[in-house]
Amino acid sequence: MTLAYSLAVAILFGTGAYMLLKHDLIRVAAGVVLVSNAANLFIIAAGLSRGVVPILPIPGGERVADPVVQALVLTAIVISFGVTALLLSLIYRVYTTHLSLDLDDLSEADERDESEQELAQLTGRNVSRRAAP
Amino acid sequence: MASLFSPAPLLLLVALLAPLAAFAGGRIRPGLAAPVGGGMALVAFAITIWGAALSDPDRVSVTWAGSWDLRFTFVLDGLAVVFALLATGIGALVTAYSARYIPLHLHHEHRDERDVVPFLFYLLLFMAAMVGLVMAQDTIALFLFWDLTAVASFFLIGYDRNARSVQAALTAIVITGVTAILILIGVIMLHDRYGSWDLPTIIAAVGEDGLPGGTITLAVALILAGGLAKSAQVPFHFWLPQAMAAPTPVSSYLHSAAMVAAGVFLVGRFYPLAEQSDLLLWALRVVGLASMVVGGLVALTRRHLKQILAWSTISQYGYVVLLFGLGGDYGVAGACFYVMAHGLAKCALFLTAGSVIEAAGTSYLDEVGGLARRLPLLAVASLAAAATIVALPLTLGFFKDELFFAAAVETGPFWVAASVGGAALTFAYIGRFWLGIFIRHPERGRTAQLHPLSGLLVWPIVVLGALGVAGGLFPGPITGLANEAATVARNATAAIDVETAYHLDTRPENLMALAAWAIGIVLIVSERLWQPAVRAFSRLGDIAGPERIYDGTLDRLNHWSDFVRQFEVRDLRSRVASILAPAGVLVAIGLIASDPTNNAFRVGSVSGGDLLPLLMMIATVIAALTSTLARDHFALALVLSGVGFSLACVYAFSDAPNVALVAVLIETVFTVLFIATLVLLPRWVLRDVNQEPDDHDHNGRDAFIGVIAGLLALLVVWSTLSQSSVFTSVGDEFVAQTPDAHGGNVVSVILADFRGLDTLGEITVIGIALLGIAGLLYRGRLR
Amino acid sequence: MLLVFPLAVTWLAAVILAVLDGRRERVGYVAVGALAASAIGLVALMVDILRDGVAQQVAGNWAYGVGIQLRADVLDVTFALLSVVVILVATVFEVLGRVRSRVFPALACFMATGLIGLSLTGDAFNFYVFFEIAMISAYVLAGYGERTRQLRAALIFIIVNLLGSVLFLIAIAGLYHLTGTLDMLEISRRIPVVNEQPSILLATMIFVAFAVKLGIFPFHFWLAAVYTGTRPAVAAMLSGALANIGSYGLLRFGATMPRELELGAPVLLTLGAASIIYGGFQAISCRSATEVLAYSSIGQVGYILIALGIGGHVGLVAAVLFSIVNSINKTLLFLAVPLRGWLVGAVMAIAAFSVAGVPPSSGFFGKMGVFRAAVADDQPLVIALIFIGSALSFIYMFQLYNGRFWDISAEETRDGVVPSVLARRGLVCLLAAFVIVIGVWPEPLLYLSEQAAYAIENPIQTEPIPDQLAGD
Repeated sequence: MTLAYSLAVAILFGTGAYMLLKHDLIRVAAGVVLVSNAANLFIIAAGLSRGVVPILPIPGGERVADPVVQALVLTAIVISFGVTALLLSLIYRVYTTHLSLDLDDLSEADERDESEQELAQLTGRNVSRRAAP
Repeated sequence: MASLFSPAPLLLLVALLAPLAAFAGGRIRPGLAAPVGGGMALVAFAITIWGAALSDPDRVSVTWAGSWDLRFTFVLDGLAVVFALLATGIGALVTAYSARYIPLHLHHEHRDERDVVPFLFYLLLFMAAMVGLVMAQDTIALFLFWDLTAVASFFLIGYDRNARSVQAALTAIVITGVTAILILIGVIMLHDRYGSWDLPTIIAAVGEDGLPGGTITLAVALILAGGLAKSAQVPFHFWLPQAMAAPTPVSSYLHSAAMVAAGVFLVGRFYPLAEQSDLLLWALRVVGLASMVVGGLVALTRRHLKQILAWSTISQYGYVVLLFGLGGDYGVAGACFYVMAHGLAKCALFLTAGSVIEAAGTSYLDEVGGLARRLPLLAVASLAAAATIVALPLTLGFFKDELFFAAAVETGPFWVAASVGGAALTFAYIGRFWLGIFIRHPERGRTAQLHPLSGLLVWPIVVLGALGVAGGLFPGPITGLANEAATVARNATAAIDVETAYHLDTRPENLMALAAWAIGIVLIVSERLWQPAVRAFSRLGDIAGPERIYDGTLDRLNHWSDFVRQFEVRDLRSRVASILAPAGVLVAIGLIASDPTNNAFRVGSVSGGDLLPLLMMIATVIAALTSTLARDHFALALVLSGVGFSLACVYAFSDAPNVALVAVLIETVFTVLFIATLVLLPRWVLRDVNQEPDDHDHNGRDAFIGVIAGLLALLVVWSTLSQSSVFTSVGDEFVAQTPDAHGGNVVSVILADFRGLDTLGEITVIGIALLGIAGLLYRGRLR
Repeated sequence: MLLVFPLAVTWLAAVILAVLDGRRERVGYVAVGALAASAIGLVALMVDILRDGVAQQVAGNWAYGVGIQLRADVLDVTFALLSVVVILVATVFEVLGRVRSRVFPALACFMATGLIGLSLTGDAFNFYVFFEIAMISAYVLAGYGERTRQLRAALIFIIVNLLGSVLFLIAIAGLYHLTGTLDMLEISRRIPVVNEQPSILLATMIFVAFAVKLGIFPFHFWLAAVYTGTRPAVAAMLSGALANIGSYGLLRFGATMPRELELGAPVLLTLGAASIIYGGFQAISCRSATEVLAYSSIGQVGYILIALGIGGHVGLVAAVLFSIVNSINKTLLFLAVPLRGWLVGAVMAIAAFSVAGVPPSSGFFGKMGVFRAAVADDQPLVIALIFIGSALSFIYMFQLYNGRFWDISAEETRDGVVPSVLARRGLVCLLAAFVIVIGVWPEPLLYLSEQAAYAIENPIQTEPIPDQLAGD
């Protein structure tokens, strides 16, 4: 089971990472979801004991499934949900301003901004180069 | 601790208050700044004399930062007196001169007359920094004031704010600031070895049997290097001629009493250490000689009045450094004597240059001339100063060369020749300077109308010239000061007593002086013969000298930096990749570093109860892999929810019903949210981004990074899970304590009770997310 | 009580502010008041700790080891205080101008809550939760201003840092698996017994997570875009307060896993040196002031890493000291850069000197600390690299300063451009004065750093949680 859990976490993480590298913002969001899921699964797998459901009363002599990781994963799931939801709405907002979901378009916009800024905000470059004697 | 009413603390206090007082005065009326500041400088001068008159050096010591054992220890010892006298005395004179000069200068530059206030502020700050520097015994305090001089010089050199002065200020701060770090490193190395920041303690600990080992020699060498850079010694000399871009009073102060003097002061302060290493003494000699020659030769070629003087300063401080290098009582006392004599005279010459530029409206030697008749007082005063520098009898300068020659005679014939050569060069370029201004006719016949000179632009020069002559007649007091300074610098137990007097005999010093003058006169007369050769040398320096190297380095840095910029990652995808890939590398390094064989990665056993979770995990993995293939966004959403729901099943079958329930709930909400987002987005946007193919190499790269990320996760996770814990879990405690918390479901009790803070935090996160989403969507309506 | 107060006051204020319109000035001042109260609470806590030693309290009054332990030593409170003060200053700065979004004050308080919480908690998972509180506030704040540029910056910021958070979460879960506890003190006691390999791999993950936060080369690629894209007050918060998660996290988890820290020292030194050189090098050719600052940040955090890598008492002192100094410098710079008018030039000069490490400014002692550590550890190569880094910082800071304030062709300080709000300029002047005051009288700062390093080296002795080795 150790290997099975490890492989599952690794594949989730790997596919998530792969999706994060896409130029499509929706897929990037999907990547975030997958990566978070990988972490959540690992938390459950990190439990130190397996056994019965940790709800009292516990049948005598039985080991319980580690309740700590269950509590942790609940918290983690909710947090990652919150963050992902925020990300989705940000993506939507980015769409409304750029009318595109393509990261390549956003990079272009970045470059445009930068060159505008360069014009507006000159710095020491012009003096750093030695003024002609 | 001495009382506050004694010279050392009082001097420091007055000096530090001077810039503030001048600033405050200037805020009331710009004209007030100079009298107030100059007055304070005079008071400081008087206090220094008071301190010099005391039999024991006055000291004050207070704790500065106890945690690091830093103290403010200030001692007004012989060495400090010499430099403090220069800093405060010349400071007062330059302030007086500036009171007239700077408003005129501002007028020429079309600047607000109120700008005189910051000028005087920085000038007096410079003085304060010098005063603190020369008295500081704690090496860190010393460094503090050292850099304070750099700060003040930065603003003074850049005062005119034109391209040249800005460039010069940058060069000055970079050269002196960066080399100052060498001093800091050296000082820290000394502290590391001797456990003290206190210089006398360190000197005592080193003892007198030579420096112990290479590290300490290196430390002292670093400190000396910092000092020499500030003294504009070869090869760091080039910042100084550039710094001529500053208004003339700044140059005169910088060269005579402040910045450049600070460098040789530092050499004097650390001389008890430096003296113990022949290597370091030799280094000082070499640097000093090189600076003397280079400075002297280039000074002969310059047309610009201030440039001549600037290069002459490099040469003159070369003498001082050489004197320290020659060592012995003559050398060290000579160095201290030299600094004073040179300070007075060089200040006067700079002020002369300023006045001449002001009067004639040109700053080139070949465009002025024959001014002796029209400005007789200035001519005489500056003649006295020039005579002091070229060491004519009946001036203070005569003795500086006598001591110099004496030290050279003590050391060897080569140095005799070198010193005569140096003195001859000095004679030649100073002669050229003075004669060119006051006697010779201008080569480019432009004897324009002279502007009248205000008294304040002449009298400070007269005072300095008179001092030079007075010192020549009665050298006793200055010699006394030099002796006391040398006693400190050599850390001598018995007071050093070098004599200065006129001897009308044929001792070597006298002969050497005569030889120097003779050669100097020949040089002046035969200018046409050697001028081309010296010009060629100077041009060589422009082509391949350290200044060129510095400029080249700066330029190249900018170019390379531009070049590297192109490779700076700019799009999000590469940004993500650039985290995953190095993380993968680090994990691999970690794996190798931690002996990969020691942890058997365990496969683990599969029991009957594991079958269902295993199956669901397989489903999860398949769904995840499918998500990478999904063509359509809606299909992606479905696959994604498939991942979520099958994970919920994994949780459910792993005896975690609470988790499973919440996971299902969250997954449902999330799927709705995801699809809702897709629905809100217009079809064409989705289609566009979907159809835009990833270019080929990107796809390959993405897959590669994906695999790396997967491997990274696999290694970490598998390695961890393979360890069966050797400890009992806190979970057992939770189970045991659950009844106390009046609950039955251990997990909900943990969430609500044992780890309630986590839950509170988690709710907060959701709240903030909602806040953010509300803000984004409220603003995000398409208009 | 003192332990909970700073946390509670910012949290409560944030919750209340969330429903108010933050664009109104009065609402802004509520946030300022809450942050100030929290800062005062932290000072009181600090005094307490310096007198009586580490403060602890278990949330919910459960037995030690069961509930979440709040635990504060000098290091913890120092960083909490630092973060709150930076956020406070940035918030005041924004309120003095004009707050542009209704949620800004609430988010500032939430971020403070997160940063205080993660400093004061003694529990690894709780650390993660507070970490996320701070991060999600920062995500929202990064979009503050809501021009397209800010939105893009926020997008980059979220995605990159989410990845960091996930790695961190995995590491925490792994630590639990190895040691069976979440209490950091307890983890530090148990981890030496654990097999080296997984613990090192987990430590690597933690390092990567914090390296991303700090923006250490080569994990820095998000940083420049975000710092230049966000509004000045937000950039100040991100670089002055949020980045502290990185330095504090490395120190705290380094203290938890000293063996792993020591093994990782070569990596820390290498990456630290790379950051210093790379950041300085890039900063030279930057076109805009904020960009120079962003790359300068990358260079400056390298010093922290180097100090940590050197380790030992002097190294830890230097790391703490430099973090504090750097945080103040960056706040000052990001706030001062967009301002115009009288005195701003002086402020920028002071900041430039501080970054270059010229006394009398606080930056000097930061740099001196790092040099001391390198000399004490006999690392000539490291000394040389720091020296080069310092030289680069001289060049880029003064190129920037000269170009901005002395270049006549770009002269705009005198006339033409409307000077910024006087109160804002006053604020940065105060901050600059603070930099100088620390430079002249560094004792409090040095004392705190020494005590913080001491706290790392000598964790408190509490009853260990009862436990038998399962193998016994």
